[in-house]
Amino acid sequence: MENEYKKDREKLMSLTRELMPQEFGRVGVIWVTVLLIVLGSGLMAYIHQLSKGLIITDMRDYSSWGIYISNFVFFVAISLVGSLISAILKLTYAGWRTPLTRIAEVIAVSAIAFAGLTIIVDMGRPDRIINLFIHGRIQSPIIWDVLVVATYLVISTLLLFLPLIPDIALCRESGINSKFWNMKIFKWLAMNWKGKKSQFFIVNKSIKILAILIIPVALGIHTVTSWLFATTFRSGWDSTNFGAYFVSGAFMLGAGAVIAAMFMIRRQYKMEKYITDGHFDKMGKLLVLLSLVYLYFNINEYLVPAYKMKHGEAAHLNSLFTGHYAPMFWSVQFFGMILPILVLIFKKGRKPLPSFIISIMVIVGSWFKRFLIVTPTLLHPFVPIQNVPESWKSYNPSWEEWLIAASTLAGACLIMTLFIRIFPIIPIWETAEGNGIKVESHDEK
Amino acid sequence: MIKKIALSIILMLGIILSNNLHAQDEAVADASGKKAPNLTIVYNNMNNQSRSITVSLTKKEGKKWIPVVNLSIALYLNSTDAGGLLGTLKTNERGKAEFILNNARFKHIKDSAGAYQFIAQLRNNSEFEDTDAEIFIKESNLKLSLTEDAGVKTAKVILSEMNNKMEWVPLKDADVRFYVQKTYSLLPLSEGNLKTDDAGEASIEIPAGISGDEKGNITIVARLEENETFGAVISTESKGWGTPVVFDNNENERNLWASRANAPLVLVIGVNAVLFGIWGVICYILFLLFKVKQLGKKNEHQININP
Repeated sequence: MENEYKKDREKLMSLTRELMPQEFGRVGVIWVTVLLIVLGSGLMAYIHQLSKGLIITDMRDYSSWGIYISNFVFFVAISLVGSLISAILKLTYAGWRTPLTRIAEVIAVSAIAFAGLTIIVDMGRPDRIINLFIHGRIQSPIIWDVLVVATYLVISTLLLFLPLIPDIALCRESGINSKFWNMKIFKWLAMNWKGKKSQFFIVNKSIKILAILIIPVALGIHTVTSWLFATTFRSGWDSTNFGAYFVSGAFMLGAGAVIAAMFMIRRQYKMEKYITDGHFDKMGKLLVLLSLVYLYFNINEYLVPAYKMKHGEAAHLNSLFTGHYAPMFWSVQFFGMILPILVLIFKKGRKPLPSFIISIMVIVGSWFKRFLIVTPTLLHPFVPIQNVPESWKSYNPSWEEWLIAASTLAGACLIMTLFIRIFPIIPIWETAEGNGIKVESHDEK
Repeated sequence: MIKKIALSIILMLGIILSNNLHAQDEAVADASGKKAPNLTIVYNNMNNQSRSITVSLTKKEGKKWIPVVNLSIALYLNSTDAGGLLGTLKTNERGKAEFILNNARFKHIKDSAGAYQFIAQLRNNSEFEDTDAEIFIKESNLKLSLTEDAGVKTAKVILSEMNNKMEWVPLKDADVRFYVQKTYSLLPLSEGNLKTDDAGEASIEIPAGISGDEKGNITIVARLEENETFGAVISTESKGWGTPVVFDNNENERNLWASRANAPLVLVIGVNAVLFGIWGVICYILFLLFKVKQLGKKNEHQININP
């Protein structure tokens, strides 16, 4: 019995050493440098925006929401992946998800954190943000969104942190890079973890509760975000399907983001043993399913109004189908939705590299999809635009807007990258459990 | 080429002339460097009861006349000696000052049939040169009556003046106009002024459908349009001839579109219940985390760090 325990501990420690975070290679350093440069440039642009006001953007009376809000919706959408992998797949006992849970959770946390920051970026007077809480009306979907974003951030952080506690303790125990792991912050984050049965019981129970709790909150966050649009009587937004449409699109984007992250982590840290071709195959199938669902909603959202072609909505729909936004619209539909289905439906398409390329298409397509949801509608109000400067009738984001939006994306990527550098990205104890290694300490009486 | 030179000369002349014109606009200062302000004086007679004098003082800056604020102006009746001084007025932020004529001295003079003179004087100011403004006013009487006959609602005024024999006689061919008092301005009831007839009378039919207050009351205003001899003479009368206004009280009821304080109870309770429910679970998870930490503190001597 004692020997068996010792063997398990040895196996656990060996697995820990294998999955410990690794230092950046040359690619990693270049990647972080690029992210820091983009982030710094965006920060400078934001300081410029703070001093001059939102006049430096191209947002005016009609295009009052621009790429900042598109970016916000994109971040909220991508954050839903946390609930998909950590909660839905966990509750359906999909054991293969284990190496992907932390990737999904860190994407969720960094995305939702930057979703909140993007809202502040979009405010002309961010110093007055407190007024949102003091004077906010509970009847307004904007307040619901603020509440649900904050709640989702807390739950996602807890869902990222709880399974991380035993792994931090294991990294501290491993004796590798002990100077780093003996820092006070890691001691505090390890929460006196001793691997006791009672501690595992509490952690597992907490994860299960959070996995259940995060599903309605995740559905809530993106449904409420969709209501920011759907509660407004405007062509393209006036839909009862918007909640489901947004949620399905978010799951598709999230799955794409996880595939992209899986590929890069596996390649960079030589994780082929843990992130296998089988994972790409399963995630590819999942992405096909989610893309089909999203395609279904797209058909509903565009073809049904197009069939009716109501007078008030015609200008908006024509701008998408044949007008100014047609190249972007059809590219998004084809490269961001139809092509992923066509490629990933075949086994060869679900191999790591094709999956990665497709996932990048899904991510880029999803960003532009959010832009297409926000901007063309604003530029086609029911009452014609009259007696305004010509420049107000179109929206071409300024360089400051592009830089700030790019920096928020870089910021989210930087958080993920630094997380992977500091913490084990493949859950150690859950992987050990999956391999039949006992992870509980033998010492509890 | 010649055309171009001629055009250039015209353009240059135009610019020079426009500058000169602008300079003339500014050239309102006298030899001492003091500016000439615009001082005006208006006599108001309200319902033949309250009378007042309004003095306005403006100065020219660029091409605009702007109010002169907080400046003292002496107001005299009939003579500018100490005995004629009615009082000293101070202009407000709109450059105006009002003097209510209710002193015994004025009452005595107004009973006489002759005109009386009001003089406003600006003296000894470092910025402005000495300026006077004066008006000669005769007493008038504007009587407004509202009558209804067979459903036709009529407003009628009788305008009269005092003659040399101290008798009130009709004032004919005077410009009068009828209005309805609204919250911020007067709503004219006719397109232009009406003339009083030989009997000093003028009347107008009050149209139906004018919105009144909650009880349907409207206030009819009759005005002898600013007249050099009689000043601004106004008479008002209220009557329930308007359409009662029903105030939309939605803002004060619980609604989705009401203020923050009037949110629907169902929504307030619903949102708070969801929030408390979710945050209650989060707090419970934080408590469990604390418990995990506490459990780790127990039996520390038994922990085997390295395998």
